[in-house]
Amino acid sequence: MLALRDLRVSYGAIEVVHGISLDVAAGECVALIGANGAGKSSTLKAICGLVPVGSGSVQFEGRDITNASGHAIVRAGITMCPEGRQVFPQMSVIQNLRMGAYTRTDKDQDADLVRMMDMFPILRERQNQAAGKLSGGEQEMLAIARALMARPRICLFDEPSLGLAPKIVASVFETLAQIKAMGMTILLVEQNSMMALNLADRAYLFEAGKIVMQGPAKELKSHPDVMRAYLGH
Amino acid sequence: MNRTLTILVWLVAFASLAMLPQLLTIKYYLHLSILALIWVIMAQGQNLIQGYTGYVSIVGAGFMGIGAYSSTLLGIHFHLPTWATIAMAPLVTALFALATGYPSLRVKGHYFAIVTLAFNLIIVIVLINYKELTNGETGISNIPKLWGGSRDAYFYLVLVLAACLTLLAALIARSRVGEILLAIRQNEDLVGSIGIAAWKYKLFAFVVSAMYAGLAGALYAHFQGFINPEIFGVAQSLDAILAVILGGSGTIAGPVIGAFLVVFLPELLRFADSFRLILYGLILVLATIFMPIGIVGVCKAAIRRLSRKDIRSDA
Repeated sequence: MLALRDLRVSYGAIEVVHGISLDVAAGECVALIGANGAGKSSTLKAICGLVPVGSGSVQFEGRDITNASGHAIVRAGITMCPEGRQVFPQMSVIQNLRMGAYTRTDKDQDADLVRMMDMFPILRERQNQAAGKLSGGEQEMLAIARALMARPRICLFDEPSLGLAPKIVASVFETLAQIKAMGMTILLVEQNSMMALNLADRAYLFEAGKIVMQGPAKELKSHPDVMRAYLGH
Repeated sequence: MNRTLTILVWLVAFASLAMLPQLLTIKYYLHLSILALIWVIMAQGQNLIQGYTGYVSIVGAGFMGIGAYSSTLLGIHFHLPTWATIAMAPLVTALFALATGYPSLRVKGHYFAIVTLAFNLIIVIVLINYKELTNGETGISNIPKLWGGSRDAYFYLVLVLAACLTLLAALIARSRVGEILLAIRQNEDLVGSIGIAAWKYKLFAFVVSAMYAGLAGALYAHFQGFINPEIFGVAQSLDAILAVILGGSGTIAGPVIGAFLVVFLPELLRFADSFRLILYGLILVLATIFMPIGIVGVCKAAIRRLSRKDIRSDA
């Protein structure tokens, strides 16, 4: 469904992603793991058109979307849930959700709104509150729900556990598991490698802008190098 | 209920303004009221880009100058009627705004402010040095006035225009576009990841704001009958920003109140003689420190607190 071939990304003169290739099949949950600065988030941003691709290509459902504009990519069916619990702080929860459906023109938006609130009961409770007044975990839930409101065919999550308490991290991952069970295709960037590998079907390990290991999540989880470097065993 | 009350307040404000020419015995105050209404138009435009979109533009007076000079020069060189040149001024300004807005909107925050400040300086430098066209620092005098220079008639023209443009600003703010402008102010990166081409909306706000300024400039030129480059310097741009902040940025009533303040406050402070400008500056500094949400913001907060107390005492 999504295919990256020999992708290179640079910020000015400094190249941070040195030619990576990866695939995500429909219905699959793929995790990109690795340390800080390994190029995971830059890869996601390049897919979404938020940073320019230096060379290589991004294909989505057979179409070349390399360096397409951010809104063209969203219209194509790729939605990103950016890191750091991004919400519109002065808008209500409902308004935030409606903004998520901005690119849609169909009439099912209200039904989807109800569905999101069934999935996240806390959002129904807080529906008229300003998003900035929610707790960190609630804001992350809102960010995820807002991303789903676009009815994407693939959803990219950038560090959904960032800066959240361990208990909240667990509930965020429960939510992601629920979304995966609905059949959503997911590409997940995560530093919390254990959580990510438990959720994902397949994973790619990034180191200094390159993919150094790939395979089924279970295999990576039991690989001695990964265990030593990233899982703390 | 609440909505009808708001409309009622606006109608009362409009009606009392409409009676001003009959009530004011000193003609100088009528003169100031016309200036204040021109500033209402200016401040409503500034509010669109500064208050709603969150981009503090310092080129407002520059665009006002482009409007004033284009209306005047079109009248002189093509012998067009004054009403036609006033109508064309915002369109000419819009062209300049498109050209300057596209590069300046690529940067945010302080950088955007500095880029627009530079554009204002450039506009003034061009107005001073392109003497063949603008007559340089001497300026242009004897600009034709409407209705033989009748102040009362001009007052009503400006009042109706200010009211219509305030209404237009309110309609924009309540529309889907306005919602996206507010979203850009709150979290521009997120607007991008939702799939909205933020730059289009920012450019729209910038150009519309420039058109407001251009019209205000043209109205100013044909009211005063004289323009020179100095009037459209950075100091005036800062006054427009202050009008928005003092009144309440991101509100519709704010720029109206703010515009009257920046025009009348320096006059009311005349009793202080040579301390006048120092006092004016002090009031502005104190107001921005202690009242960053503006007069409208403070009033809203007070009303909310009062109504909450009412509910409590009822219970």
